[in-house]
Amino acid sequence: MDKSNFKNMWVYIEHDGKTVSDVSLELCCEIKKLCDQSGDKLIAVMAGELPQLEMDKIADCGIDGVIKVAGTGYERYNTEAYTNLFTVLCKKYNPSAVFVGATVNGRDFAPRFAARLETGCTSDATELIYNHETKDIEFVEPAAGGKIMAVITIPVLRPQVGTLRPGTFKHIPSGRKENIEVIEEHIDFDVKDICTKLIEYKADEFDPELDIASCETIVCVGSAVKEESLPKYKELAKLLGGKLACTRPVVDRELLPYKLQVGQSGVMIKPKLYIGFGVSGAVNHVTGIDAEKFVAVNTDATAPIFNYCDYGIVGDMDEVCDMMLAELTK
Amino acid sequence: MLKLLCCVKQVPDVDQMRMDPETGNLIRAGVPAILNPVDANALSAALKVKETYGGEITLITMGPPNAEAVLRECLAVGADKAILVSDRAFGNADTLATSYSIASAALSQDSYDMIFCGKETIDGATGQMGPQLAERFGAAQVSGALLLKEVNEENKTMIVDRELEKGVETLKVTLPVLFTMEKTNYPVRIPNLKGKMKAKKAEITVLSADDIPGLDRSRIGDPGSPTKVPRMFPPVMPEPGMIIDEGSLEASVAKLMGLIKE
Amino acid sequence: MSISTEFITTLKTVLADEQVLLNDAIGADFAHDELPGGQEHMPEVVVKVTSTEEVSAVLKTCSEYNIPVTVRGAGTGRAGGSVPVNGGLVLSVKEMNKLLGFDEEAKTITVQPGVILQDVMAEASSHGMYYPPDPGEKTATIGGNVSTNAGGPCATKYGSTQDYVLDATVVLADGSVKKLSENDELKNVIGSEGTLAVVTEITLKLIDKPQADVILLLPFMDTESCINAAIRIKEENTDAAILEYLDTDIVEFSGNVTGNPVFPIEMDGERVGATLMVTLEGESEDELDEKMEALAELSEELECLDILVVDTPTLKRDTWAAHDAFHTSTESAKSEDEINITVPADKMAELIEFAKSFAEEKGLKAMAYSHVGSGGLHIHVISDMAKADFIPVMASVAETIYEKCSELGGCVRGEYGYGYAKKSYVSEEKRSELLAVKAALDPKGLMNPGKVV
Repeated sequence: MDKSNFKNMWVYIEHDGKTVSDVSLELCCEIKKLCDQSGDKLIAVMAGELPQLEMDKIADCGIDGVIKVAGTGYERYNTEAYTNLFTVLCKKYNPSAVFVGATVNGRDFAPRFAARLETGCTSDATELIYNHETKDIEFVEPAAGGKIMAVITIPVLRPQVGTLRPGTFKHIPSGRKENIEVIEEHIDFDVKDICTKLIEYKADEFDPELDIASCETIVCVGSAVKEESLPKYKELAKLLGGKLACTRPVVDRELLPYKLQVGQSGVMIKPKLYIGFGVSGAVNHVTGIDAEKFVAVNTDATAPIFNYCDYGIVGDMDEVCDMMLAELTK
Repeated sequence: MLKLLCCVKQVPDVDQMRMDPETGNLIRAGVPAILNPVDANALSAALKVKETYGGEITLITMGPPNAEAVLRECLAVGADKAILVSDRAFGNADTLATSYSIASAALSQDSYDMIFCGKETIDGATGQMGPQLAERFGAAQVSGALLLKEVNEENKTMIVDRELEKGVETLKVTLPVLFTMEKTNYPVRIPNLKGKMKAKKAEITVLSADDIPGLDRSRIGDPGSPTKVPRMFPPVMPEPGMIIDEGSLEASVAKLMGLIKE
Repeated sequence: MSISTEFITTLKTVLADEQVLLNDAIGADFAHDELPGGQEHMPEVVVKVTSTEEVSAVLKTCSEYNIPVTVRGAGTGRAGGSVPVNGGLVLSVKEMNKLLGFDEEAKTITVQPGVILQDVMAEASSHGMYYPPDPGEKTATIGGNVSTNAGGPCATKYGSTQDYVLDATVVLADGSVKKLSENDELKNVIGSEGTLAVVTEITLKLIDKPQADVILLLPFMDTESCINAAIRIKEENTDAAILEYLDTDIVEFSGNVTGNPVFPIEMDGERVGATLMVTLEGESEDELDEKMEALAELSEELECLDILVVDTPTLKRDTWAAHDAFHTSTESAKSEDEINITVPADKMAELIEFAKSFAEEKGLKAMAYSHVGSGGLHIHVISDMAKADFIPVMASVAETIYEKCSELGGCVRGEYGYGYAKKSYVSEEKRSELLAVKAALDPKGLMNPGKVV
């Protein structure tokens, strides 16, 4: 296979007809940097229509072109039509790489069309590097449960397919290009050939405030918290895009429900950012935390929590909280 | 009778892997090999279908000869037959080559109405095997299946709940179908002593590359794998316990906010 | 008792300023342990010590100023043992958490008292050895385990903490340091709940890790047949390391909280009454198979509904996690308490049935699990009542159960010690025995007052 026949990098635009998904925008911004290195064009690929305002958001990420596909079979996500769509398009346009957001549905069809094309597929890279010598993308990803980082490449075949997790990369628009090429395609997929038919969709009922296990930012209050201060920690959590949690003594005092208790006897959390206010750092609490960034605020400079944190501030928790709120709202 | 195929994998217990602080390499010695945890839930789902509608469960795994242990573990809770795909020629395979190898081996023995996989493995964690196997089997796929209900054998359809980010969709699916199962709803079965003893003596079909008619050798093992791993390195650990003291609390908080946003 | 500035000044001559906590600097946690519905007793001063020398200096000062001393480890007890009911000084040994030595040949580990149990277990395990006593709370300190003589499920085969403490360095109330080595004095200190001395260094005996082990789960229709089976298995000399009775009510409750009950709740559409968890150990898989077969031969006589085999690392881990969740999952109930006592095995079924039905009469739900071999029984009581309403009802239920326990020849002390919560149940005989020892070691009565003696 002559790799030089394969040009341009594609990002799949996932949407619900009204809004474009965040991960698609994050990917456009990240892959733009890769294209700047490789000299490829960045092409957004989508099926169906989006309002102009949403299309503008995509354009602002610095794309060079859009492939817009019309036809039957795409109204609701299904494995068959989307697998077929990318197989047909890749065969026609020979992209160098195709990136798909690792949403539930993205993870569903990306490996499948890669298999149909008999090419390589990687998942969950946390860093992408363009290698000028080999002209390959290096997908850097955690392996063996995060204990080691592996570099994965697809050195012979094209396209290079990768699914990337939402939130891994940042949506920082680099600005709109003057000329954005729009290619309109019409590919029908016979609805009769769709093997999965939707009968019902039920949105989750659970209280999202209580779902701390998968939350990316956790503001955690410990035994020193005053009942009347709770609202401001809730506000801080909200401003940081996260949720409020607590230690066991706070639950014992019936200030917050058990479902918010972090630790061995409560909920195990894996946030990107954890901020513990007035948390002493009891072993059964800290063993329940696997945070990328661990921040501790406590008046007691000898509190064990400081042994576990990345950054610590010795000071009054309420004062620090107020200052953080001021920083975030200014 | 429904023909059910359950794909399982023997994996290292990654929780017990440690890193050599000097070399940065993973220490694999002494780490026990286990059945990939969510595969046990997938097997429970298959058993539930068998118990409700009747059927026969065939297990399949690819790996070294000692991967037989996980097959016996699954036979002990009620699977009927087991295939071990084992040959050095299959070694160093990525998901593309593995899906081709497993599907070729399974199809050399029989055809299947339902194929069960765990959602992902704890070692690779790509979650790609299910969809790629479905492609090889030419089957419909439901990734992240939560609950299997109402199998209609005559019409070859069934109803399935599938987990999405913020909700659950109920789908009507045409057989054959491949499921990648979530952990919920299908708790791991514990074998009884009788099942254990029976599994100990059960015969396992071992297939080498030569045993699979028409197998394309260029599509298996290392040659059949488009993805390569040129290098590995230890993750960069953050320095623990930096106390921020910029003179005043205000300045310290401002510095902290900068660090958080990074 | 009020603490003078002079006393604090003296303390600060032997300790650094940041080791002495006063007023607002004292965390709220120091006023209680994990005793449900326990009273808050704030200490007047907390000192964080790191060495035997510091402990000695602090005790000497306290003795001079007549300040009562309560020793505290991780504060995970559930009888109030580490709570300063008379105020005074709390001596926190939590930071005395250093591993002092490991002797591969002699198979011993020497630790400071603040080292937590799970770290001792992990250190032993990394050398292919095993430290058996495990009351379930793995974040408890070794010092706490020594002071309560903790045992746990495997006490059936392996005994309790006192069987593993080879020697210990202790500091007496007057500040004098003593090294105790497998003698009567050491035996007195173990299990004395901090009323005699402060243990500052402990050398523990370790044993070889068994090469192979398997957990068997035997479901039964009811409590009585389950416990009878355990007694029978013990008589048969099967060398079971653990014989654990599990009430299906607690299996179900805990399973609902954690999402994974592991233990059977129903078999063939019928509700299981109780499950017996049996651990067998051996030097090889073959030896285990033989032991399992021997047990299978007994099974008809035992009336168990099945024999489930837990023999993979994953299932074993899940099984222990489900077991250890019993005592944490009940925290999710609106109100809860735990009755922890010891009863002879042949009276255990009677006591469990009594406790369950008596609690029900009072509108509470009692659920149990127990170490049949050693008699250790945990009864968790839960209720939807508000805490204020629950506490008096619970107190009367506990009293009745404790009475029944004594009547059946049991002992109310249990795993967490008497603390202050069970103080009134210490027998006169035991009390006078302890007082005699205390008179010699702590004549001023400053060590953990208001507790067992």
